[in-house]
Amino acid sequence: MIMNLLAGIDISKLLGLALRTSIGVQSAVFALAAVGLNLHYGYTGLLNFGVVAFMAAGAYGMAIFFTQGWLGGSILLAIAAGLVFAVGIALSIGLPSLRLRADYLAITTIAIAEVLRISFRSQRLLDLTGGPFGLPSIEDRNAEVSFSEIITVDWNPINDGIYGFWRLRFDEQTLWVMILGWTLVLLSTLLIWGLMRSPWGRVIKAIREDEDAARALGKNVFSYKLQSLIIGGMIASLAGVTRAMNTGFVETQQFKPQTTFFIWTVLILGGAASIWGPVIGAMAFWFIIIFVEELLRQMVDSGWVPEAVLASNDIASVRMIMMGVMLGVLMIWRPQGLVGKKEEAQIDVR
Amino acid sequence: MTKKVKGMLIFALAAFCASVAFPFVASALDNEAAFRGTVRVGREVIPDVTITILDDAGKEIGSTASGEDGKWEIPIPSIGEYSVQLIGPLPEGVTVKEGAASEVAVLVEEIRTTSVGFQLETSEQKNILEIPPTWERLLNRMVSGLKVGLLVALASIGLSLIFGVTGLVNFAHSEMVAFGAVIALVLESSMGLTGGLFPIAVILAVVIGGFLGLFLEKGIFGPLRRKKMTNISLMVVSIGLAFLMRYLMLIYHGAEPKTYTSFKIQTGVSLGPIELPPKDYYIISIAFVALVAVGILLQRTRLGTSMRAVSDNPALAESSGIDVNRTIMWVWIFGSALAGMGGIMIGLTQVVEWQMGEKILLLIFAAVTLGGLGTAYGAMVGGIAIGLASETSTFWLDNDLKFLIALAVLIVILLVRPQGILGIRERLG
Repeated sequence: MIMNLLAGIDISKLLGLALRTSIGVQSAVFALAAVGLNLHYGYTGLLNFGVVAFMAAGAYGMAIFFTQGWLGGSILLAIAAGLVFAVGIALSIGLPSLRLRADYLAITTIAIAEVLRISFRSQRLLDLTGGPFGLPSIEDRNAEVSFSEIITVDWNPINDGIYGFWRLRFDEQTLWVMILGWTLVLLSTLLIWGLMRSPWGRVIKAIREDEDAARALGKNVFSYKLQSLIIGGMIASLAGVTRAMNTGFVETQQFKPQTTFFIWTVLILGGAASIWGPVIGAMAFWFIIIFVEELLRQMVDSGWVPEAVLASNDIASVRMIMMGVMLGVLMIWRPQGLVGKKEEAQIDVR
Repeated sequence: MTKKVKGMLIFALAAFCASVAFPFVASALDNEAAFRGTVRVGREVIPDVTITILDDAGKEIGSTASGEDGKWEIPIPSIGEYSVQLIGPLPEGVTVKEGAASEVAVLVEEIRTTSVGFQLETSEQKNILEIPPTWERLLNRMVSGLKVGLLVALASIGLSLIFGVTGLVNFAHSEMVAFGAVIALVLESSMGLTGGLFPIAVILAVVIGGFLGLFLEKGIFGPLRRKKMTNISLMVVSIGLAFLMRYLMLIYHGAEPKTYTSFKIQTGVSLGPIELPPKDYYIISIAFVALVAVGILLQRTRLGTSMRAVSDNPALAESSGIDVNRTIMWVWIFGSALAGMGGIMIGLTQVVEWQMGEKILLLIFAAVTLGGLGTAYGAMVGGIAIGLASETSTFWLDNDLKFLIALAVLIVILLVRPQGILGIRERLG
């Protein structure tokens, strides 16, 4: 019976697809956002449920400035504008709500993220954000050049062709965005590593462990928290920018609250408060998700799972269920994730 | 059996039960597919109008006349292209709207009930487009806001009570709301509890909602609390649970929004300047009665007193002889049943769909935060305030911004008075 089951399953395809996604752009995007969240939650103990607001700020900030041609159509300046927008969001989340208790902070951040998304969707901002349609192609209105074309074609040093082996083959454009994305992941991880070895990092961790003690030592806790929110927020906003490089468009559907919880799952899976946790988490997360999805798909196709239990077009929902189950189960039985330290990960943020 | 294994078994059992039970229920949902419609002009229904359907070869496949309630129905024989024709006779002064046709082409790609409507107008409507006076429209907005507010209040009490007695911010609460609505719909269609029997479906669904609360407390949150997990970790667990429930509903209930067939379209009934469909009068009164009943339960019964005591100070409550765990269990049962009831009523006024939990989550949070987390009366006040604020805002603002108003209220209240209207300052820390 086991052999029969295996006969319907293409193991090479299963592993290939899962591996391909776990090193792909999507994984780099999630890793970046998780690195930012790690600074917020893992190191500072801030219960930020609005990670997606920073991603939206980065992506929309960049896209709006670029499409309007406000900065002379410069991509780097547009990305910088996205980062500045993210700082603005960090301030508007942080200034009012950082004094609140953790569960209130959680509710406020998720609410602010939704406010931002719904505002971007609004008809009144149709000219800037494209409203519900988004900006299907991030294109300078005056010069008529497209953002993703400049990134993936003009700036692409890789010759045309297909690179890789087995099922891990990528065309030159995907490969280039992958390199860019993972480079950003590496740089931001190194930044966090450096910060955490600095006196600043020690204060941040002290705030996580005991806010009152840090305050008693004369540290301005509020200011440190705000700085952490800003730095982590900028890193997360780069995740939004990287996704826009890959897809070439922005729309509000990409920034629903569920994305925030995907990133939470990634962080907790990898291990909060560890340097490489977010990166390992993102790769492991996508590997598991795609592996199980593909396995289910093949099992449904070969008739091992009856249609009544799971129809093949429901498999996309299984991803969300897995995310939810993973989040809950990890929190219960392995809060330190794959590589985190248990004593650092059991956070009772106040 | 160790606790760990037990916990795992419970998780597995829950997933198993859900995956086994839903398909059976879901398959009972399919009923006979038909073309369906109501001949109406404005709010008036028109009986005895003949409707004929031709297939693409021009052959008549069915003909019927609209009933007393203006409704007509003709079964769909197979996939294909059909032409639905309004033959008549229409009463004097009623005509097909300019630019609209008395013949509608329908492409059936999937055998399922398809509604077909004709756009009619009366000769008076043609000439005068009547706009009621401003205050009347505002009043109607406010009544509708009151209705939404009462429902949000009903749905939020459980969240606030559960927070009060356990300190858990339960993100899965909105899915408990959606669950109630979905179960009522499944009961209605699978057991034929339509029309006058619908209240039975409501009562059953509320009871099942209560059992869901019991299950969540006994199966998940109770054991985890005893495992000394922090409330923050439990909150993250509840987020995971919310996704599990939401997407199980998507898979087994389906993606398309549905409505309770017992109350599809109703003609408005005027009460002075207020005009609402009859079901809304019922909804408002039932929600009101339920809220009063909750108040009486909390103030006058032993259980209610112990709920308030545990919410106030669990250690003190325990030392004065209150069984804290039992009280928490009843809060879950009770809160979940109320959430289910709120869900059914929201489903009655809008639609029943898998995403309704996601849509109402932040409204509920706004309501409980506004009123003060942990206080049942706060949730009531907050719910009504949020409902009024968001519905009346459509009077001045775009419709798609009304949700934003609720969130803005939430954010502002957190800045100005984070303990909420009825909350106590020291809860904040």
